[in-house]
Amino acid sequence: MLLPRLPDPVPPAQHEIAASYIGRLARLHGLDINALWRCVTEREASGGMRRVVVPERLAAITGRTVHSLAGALPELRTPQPDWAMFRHQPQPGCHHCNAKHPGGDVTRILPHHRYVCTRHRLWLCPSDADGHTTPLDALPEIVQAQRRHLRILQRRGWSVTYDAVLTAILICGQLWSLPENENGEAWHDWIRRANILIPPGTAEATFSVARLCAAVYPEAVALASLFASPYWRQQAQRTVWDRRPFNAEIARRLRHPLYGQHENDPISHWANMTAKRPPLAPIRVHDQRHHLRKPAQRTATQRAQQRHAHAFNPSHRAGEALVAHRHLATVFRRAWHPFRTHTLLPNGDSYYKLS
Amino acid sequence: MTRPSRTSFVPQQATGQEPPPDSPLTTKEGWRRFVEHEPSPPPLLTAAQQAALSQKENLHHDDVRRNYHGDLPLVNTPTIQKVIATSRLLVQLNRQQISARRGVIISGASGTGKTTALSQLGRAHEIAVRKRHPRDRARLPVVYVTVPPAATPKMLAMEFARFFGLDFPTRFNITDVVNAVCATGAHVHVDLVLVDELHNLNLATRTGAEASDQLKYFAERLPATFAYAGIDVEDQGLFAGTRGRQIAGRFTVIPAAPFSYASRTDQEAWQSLVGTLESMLRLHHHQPGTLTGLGEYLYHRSGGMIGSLSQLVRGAAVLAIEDGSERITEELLETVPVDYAAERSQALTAPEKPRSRRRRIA
Repeated sequence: MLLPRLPDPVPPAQHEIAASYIGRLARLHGLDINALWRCVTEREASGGMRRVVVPERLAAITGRTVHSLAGALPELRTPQPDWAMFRHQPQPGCHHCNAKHPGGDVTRILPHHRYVCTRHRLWLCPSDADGHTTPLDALPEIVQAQRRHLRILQRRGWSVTYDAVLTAILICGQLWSLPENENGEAWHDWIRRANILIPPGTAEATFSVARLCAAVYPEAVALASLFASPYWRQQAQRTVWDRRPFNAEIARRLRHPLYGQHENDPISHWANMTAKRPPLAPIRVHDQRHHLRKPAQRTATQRAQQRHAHAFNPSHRAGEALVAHRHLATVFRRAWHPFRTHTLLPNGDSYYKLS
Repeated sequence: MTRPSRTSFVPQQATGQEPPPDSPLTTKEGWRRFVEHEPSPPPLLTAAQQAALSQKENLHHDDVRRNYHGDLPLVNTPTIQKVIATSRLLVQLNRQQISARRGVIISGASGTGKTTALSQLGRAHEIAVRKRHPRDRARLPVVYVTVPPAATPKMLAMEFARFFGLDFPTRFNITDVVNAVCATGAHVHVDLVLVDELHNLNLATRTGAEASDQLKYFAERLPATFAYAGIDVEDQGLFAGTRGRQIAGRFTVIPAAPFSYASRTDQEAWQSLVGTLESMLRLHHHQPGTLTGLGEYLYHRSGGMIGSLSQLVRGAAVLAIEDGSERITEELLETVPVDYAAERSQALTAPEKPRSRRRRIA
């Protein structure tokens, strides 16, 4: 079938899903989306009802080569990319970057390491898929942390980086929930950032766990570079007495002069239990069968978020909402197996015990 | 593989893709091919160079020259010049107009070069726009459509959609088609719409009147200048009635008439036209000035029609290469067939030839 080239074949956005690109092309030309979709797809080889995009047909109607299209659209790549490297759920991404792509909403399947649009200083955490965008103009350290995150990725690969960053965010959340005297200096930064991202008195409208994630992100990346390093992992696996260099490095990065005095903190738990384990794989992987679903928050998630918003106080155990969030589910399951409960004593001391 | 033209807005990767064989001027691929086509004259070899060629190379050289003469570049006639100058001015004036844009109608008898003028106007405009926006690859400044016979509004809208290569499911109604065409036209920055065969609109019938209204609706929706061409559109009733008065108030009519040979000025214009055509020839033994000398003969033979003149000269040039004479003479021109209209015109206007006396056999 000879397909005519569309008059205005706009380029695809980076990491855009094929359905979003075809939808934009159809809207730009006033065409029926379903008709254009049927034109560039065919039924899957297994004989099922699902239709898969034929790259050659998309190339014919856009006048672009399959190679250049596949550079932007991961679904068109042959062989298929490692989908574990991408988030399981598509999301809009940076709206400033989307503004240069005409034809309506751009939906992307972003890789795990993309937390910030460094060009436009916007927070793109996956749990912001509900359309909230968080400008980071007042917090340049978060943008800088994204650059450090990318450097870790370049040195260690995506799976180690994914595991290290999520583990570090979880640990920062746990530390934020500890009493004040066990938190070190970083705790004050988290409160300061949280007050900028969620201004006091506006929690009902502005609270989102993604913003709490942004508050701890710079320290999390600082810890992640440690967790991803084979040298420091080896140091962490030593006995408690030989772990002094590792503890000193943690204390330096978290600006926590008293770190290392307790043995019941989350980092020691990580050093004891998981430092020797291979990196974790994401629990949920992008499924092309459901990629047409618009990213949306479940009602239960919204209710939980509202509940947290009511009780939100950055100076009082704010990290609990972060630790309970599904974004950290992969590392949460491992970190709490075997399950340890945090116990706070009346005199202010706390400890973890196996339940 | 040929190198893509400098003005080409086709992406580099896509230039290797040949346009489909059935791409008429009324599709964007055919139109693009027409705009990008520039016949380049082959070098005229000297006798020594020609002798040095092998037989195969010689045949190839002749073939290239035959192709060139078969597709001789078009001469800028006064009608074409006037159409281009007027329309480009109107495009400029209409640029800031939100409604009631002015347009051009080329009207004249058949064979007077209306379609040629219209297509040359589009080509000139598109080349000018591409020079101004060399990086804008998706820009389609010109749309060329023809009014289909017994046109209905939907047929007319589909002609616009076909130019863009838009395909619709059968359930799409005319509003959907028009919306798609206008949305696409706005995105690709259409600013000149060429509508040919306007005489196919019969305003005496209801569908014809509706199609005319549809054309007017397009003119309102698309921010572009409209240029129409048709056979004697003034006599077809296009300017009659309420609709006609509105059209007459907005359009400039440029008559396309055959060349005249009455006054001294007309004769000079004709001679210069023939001289320009002659200067483009690539024949080995052709004496410059021969065709100019045959100016009057060519006028009567072609009836002053540019199309017929071009056919005569091109045909004679191809025949001259084929028979090896490499020069155009009156005898050779006699063998080139021309259209019926030109033949009739010749029978009516050409002076009778002085007959040579036959020697009687005693």
